[in-house]
Amino acid sequence: MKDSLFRADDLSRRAFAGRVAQTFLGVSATSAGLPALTSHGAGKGASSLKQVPTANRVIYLYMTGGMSHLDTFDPKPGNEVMGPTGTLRTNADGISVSEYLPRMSKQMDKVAVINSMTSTQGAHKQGNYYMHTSYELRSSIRHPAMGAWLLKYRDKNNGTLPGNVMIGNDSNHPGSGFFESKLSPLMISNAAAGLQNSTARMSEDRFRFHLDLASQLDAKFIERYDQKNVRAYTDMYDDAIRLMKSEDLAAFDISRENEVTRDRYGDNAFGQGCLLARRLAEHDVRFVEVSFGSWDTHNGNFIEVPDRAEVLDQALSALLRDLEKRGLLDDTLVVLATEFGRTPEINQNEGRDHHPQAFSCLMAGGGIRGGQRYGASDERGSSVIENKVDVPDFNATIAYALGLPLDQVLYSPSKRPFTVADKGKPLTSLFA
Amino acid sequence: MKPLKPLLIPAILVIALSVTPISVNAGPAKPPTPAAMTDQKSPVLGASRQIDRLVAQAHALHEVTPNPPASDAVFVRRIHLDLIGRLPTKQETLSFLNDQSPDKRSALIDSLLHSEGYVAHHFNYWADILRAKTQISGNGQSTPAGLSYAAWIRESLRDNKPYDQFVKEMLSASGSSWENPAIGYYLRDYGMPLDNLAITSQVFLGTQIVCAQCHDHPFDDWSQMDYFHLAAFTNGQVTTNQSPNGRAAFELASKNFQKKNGKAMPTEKRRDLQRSFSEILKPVRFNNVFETNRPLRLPHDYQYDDAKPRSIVPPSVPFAPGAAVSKGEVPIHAFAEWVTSPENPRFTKVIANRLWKKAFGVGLIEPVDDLREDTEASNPELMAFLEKKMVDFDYDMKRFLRMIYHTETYQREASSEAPIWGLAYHFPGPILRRMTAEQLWDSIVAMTFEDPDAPDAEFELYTERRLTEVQLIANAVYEQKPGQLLRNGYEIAQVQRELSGELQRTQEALAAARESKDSLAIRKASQDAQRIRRQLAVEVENRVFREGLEERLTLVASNAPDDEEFLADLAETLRLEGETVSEGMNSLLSSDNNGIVRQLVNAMMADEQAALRQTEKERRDQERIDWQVDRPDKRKSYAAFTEMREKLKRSAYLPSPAPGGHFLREFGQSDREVVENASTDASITQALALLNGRIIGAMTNRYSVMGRELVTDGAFKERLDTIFLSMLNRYPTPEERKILSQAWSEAEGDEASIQGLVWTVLNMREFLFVQ
Repeated sequence: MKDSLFRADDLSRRAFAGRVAQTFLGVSATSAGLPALTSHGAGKGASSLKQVPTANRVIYLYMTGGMSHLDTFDPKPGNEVMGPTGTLRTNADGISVSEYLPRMSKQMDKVAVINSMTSTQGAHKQGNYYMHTSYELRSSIRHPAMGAWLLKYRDKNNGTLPGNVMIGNDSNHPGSGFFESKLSPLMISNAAAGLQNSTARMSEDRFRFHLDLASQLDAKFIERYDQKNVRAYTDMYDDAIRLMKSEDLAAFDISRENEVTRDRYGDNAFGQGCLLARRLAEHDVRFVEVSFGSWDTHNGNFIEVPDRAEVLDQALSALLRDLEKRGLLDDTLVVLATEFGRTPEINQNEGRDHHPQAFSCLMAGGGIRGGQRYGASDERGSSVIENKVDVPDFNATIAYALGLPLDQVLYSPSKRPFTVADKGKPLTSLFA
Repeated sequence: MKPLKPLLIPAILVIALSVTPISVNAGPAKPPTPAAMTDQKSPVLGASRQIDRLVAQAHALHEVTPNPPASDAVFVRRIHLDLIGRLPTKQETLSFLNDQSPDKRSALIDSLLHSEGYVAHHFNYWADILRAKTQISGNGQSTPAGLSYAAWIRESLRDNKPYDQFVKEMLSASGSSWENPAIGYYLRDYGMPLDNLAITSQVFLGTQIVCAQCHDHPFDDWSQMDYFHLAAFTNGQVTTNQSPNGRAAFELASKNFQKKNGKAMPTEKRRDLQRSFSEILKPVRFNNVFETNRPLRLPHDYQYDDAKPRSIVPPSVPFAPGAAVSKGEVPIHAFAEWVTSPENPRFTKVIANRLWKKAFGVGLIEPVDDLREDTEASNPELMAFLEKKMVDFDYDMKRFLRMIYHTETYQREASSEAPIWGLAYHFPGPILRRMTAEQLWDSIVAMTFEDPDAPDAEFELYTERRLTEVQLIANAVYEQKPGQLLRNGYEIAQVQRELSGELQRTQEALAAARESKDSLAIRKASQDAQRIRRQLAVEVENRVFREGLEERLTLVASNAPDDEEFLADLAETLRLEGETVSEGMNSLLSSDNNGIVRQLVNAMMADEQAALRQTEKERRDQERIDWQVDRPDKRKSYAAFTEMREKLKRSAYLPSPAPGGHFLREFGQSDREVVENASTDASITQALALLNGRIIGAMTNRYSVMGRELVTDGAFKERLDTIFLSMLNRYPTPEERKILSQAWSEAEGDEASIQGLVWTVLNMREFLFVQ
């Protein structure tokens, strides 16, 4: 497996730049009249750190709505900001979690907790977008999310399954951004139902026959409207047909798991989504995101958070244990992210409001040393007092684990320069 | 607000329960009188020509060659999608193509603008902008408010309510969901007045101030103080869940306790009572907005020198025209006036640009909702002209759209090249667009069922039902005297204590059962837990709601003691069997376990429900005769057809948004979480849905609109024309005919290959995109 992973690195730098130019500018990099790819100091300040990848794939768990850090992974025992939330010691020295996470308290030795996250974005759409892309939401451009960056730099591990899968409901996922649509995630809205419509309703001959007919009839239209979204459909049809034929299609079918396993993950959309993510990881799908929410607990925080945390606790602990048992945790990076934390102050609706100043995220597996805490917030969980981690730093750490070049500049169709994780600095000390 | 059309619920119940009858369908839209049309026509058409001149000037300046005029076939397809959100049927396509009159395009635009399809399609458009959700505040109790808000949006479009009035009604809304559905605008951001203000500014003023909620705007001239000044206007629109008599009952409790015990009520007792009241008021949660003078304070961590943290901020606006609040008046009305004033420099610009973008696929200003100090339109003269027309037309959106769709600029071919982000587009014609999720879905509806634009009676009745239900409960609770409500509150608190003990025991049993992995015991314990939770709601209904309703009916009965007919009517309508109201209630309660409120609503809606069932039955009987559904295979197809009719409804009459995984969501329907969240990007799941999904079965069912033509039209040529005219709205070219005839003979043409041909066209880009 590792061998095939390094194949993509064999491309020389120049060949790579040429390919990128071809993709985005439709010309070769030496063509006159266009900025050379390295001009204007684009990408200056980006980290040149690069390592042999410690992770082959990512399972990215996204908590939509802003997960309360105090009531999950950054409790402040004894402080009035906790409201009724209690604290549990864990199996990792010096790390506590809230009482709503009893199962995870026995697995924190696998996890690096980052308690010093901070974001510049305090609204959901903006915060979610920033976390996914490292860039602020701009109406003039759409940036790629990490799964698309990963596939941009590295081939899929599995030739027939999609390399990027999103489980959950988010019609506004940044997807492939300005990259080709084929890098955007395959959306699975209901893990238990798996991948819908994956078998043909007619014989293979007929299918092929009518498909050929469609492309003959459509040729004029496709030639006339040679546009990104039209091309994207052509790509998606190719991918869909490849997928239909894939022997690995069963990866999407969680009904093949026994009931005990399914129960362990939790009989709910997120739990089953994590189980599906594990199956896809086994089939070497590069990037799987599972979203879960809403954590937007403006009202009744202490009723809502325990409810969400119960689901998270069960699914995440089952996932980590399962990956470890199958020997997958070593090269699978598991990430838990959210757009921001929630205020230490409890509002009049017994809720907590948005709080981007300080919050918490997790990483586990894929070369990360477990049982450590990185950074800290103050005694109220209000602001960061140690080792501040900006959103780009966090994403740079994911990219670093995957061995992606943090200083490589890629250009959008509007010829603006971008790097994976927007010049964030990877937290190299997290790695074993 | 204009009262909605009364519905056919028994008048006697309306009086007895003082339920405001709400109808969500005012019947078919009335076409304008010929006089009104000619009156309006020439100034509108003159304006269309002026737009073409201004576009041509830009073409000359920027050396742009305009696209050739669109053919009738391209036009008929695009104008249907843009105005009524679906493809024209074969018949509609043919009647337009065969029409020889010179002003047929103009006539078509006018008739589409006045059809029900306009309402359905533009509802989808606004639902995306306004994030209109059926469960409007993320909770089941908010469904009546979400449904009535949606019905109100549709009604506003049907009435062609001027845009400034439409916005004003939302911004100044207060009251209850059943009397003022526009409160949905505030309920949508329940408990988040600051976020709601940011949305208002973004949607109606095209101004993104959201970052100024926490700090001064990094690029624009917006300070955090500006933000709070503005938010002080809307902060008084309170979405929390209180009732005036609930508050009075609470005060009474405190007073009583003080008098009796000589000290304040202890926290624990207060909390018990509070919990009990919130249980009683639970079914009417998320259905009220109160208009108050609540002051707004700066945040505790306000970081600038111009004011102290937590100090009160008075309302004021950042730019002209001013918005003065008279003493003693709530500030919201001054705010609504300010936002919607023609003097407000951004209000008109935003809507004019939005509707332009709706027609062309790209705005004169992009993005439409992020105007900055230095923002300039790609064609400033044209932008100014459109703004002026919007004001001249008194914000009449149909008239404005009419002007745009009558331009030569719109009626050109779509550009073969996509506009480049960040570069100005000079409108050689509209851009190529993929059908929206709703356009695609609704087009399939139109290929399958007759009368595809009609409002869905079942969905509308459901809306009425939910609103009646919440209103009955509100009446039963809100009109109780404080003392009475307090007594009920104590009673429910007692029930809560008892049940909570029981619940605790069940939860312990559940934990024990889990420990011993006894699956039977687990199931029993969790069922018990559910039953106990439900029990509380039942107790509230039987004790509190019933008492309120009974009193109301008794009052009516005693006010008309001699009117036997009245009482007989009442008894009959309620399907009661009893001498007195109370006995009748008893029999209602014992007849089944659905609860008194549901029973009353059933009785009130019985006639409408029966009428609906009758209509459907008659329709089926007629169809079976007309279509000679007389063989087993035909019966099977017909059963499939009627089953689909339940699900394949126009998107505007389905829950909003459709659930995850639904065809609409796969094709990018907005999740309604953020403003304009719909997407037309490609995905593998879309390709799979078109290749292997069930949708093909609907379109080609032998009783679908297209299927019936395919069955009856014998010759291959006619069948081919039917498929092309229904799906691509044009005839096949000679070359295509040749390819297809050859394919047909190769496939040894049978029914399966007819379905295969539909499948073929369904999987063409030309089908999915709008030229």
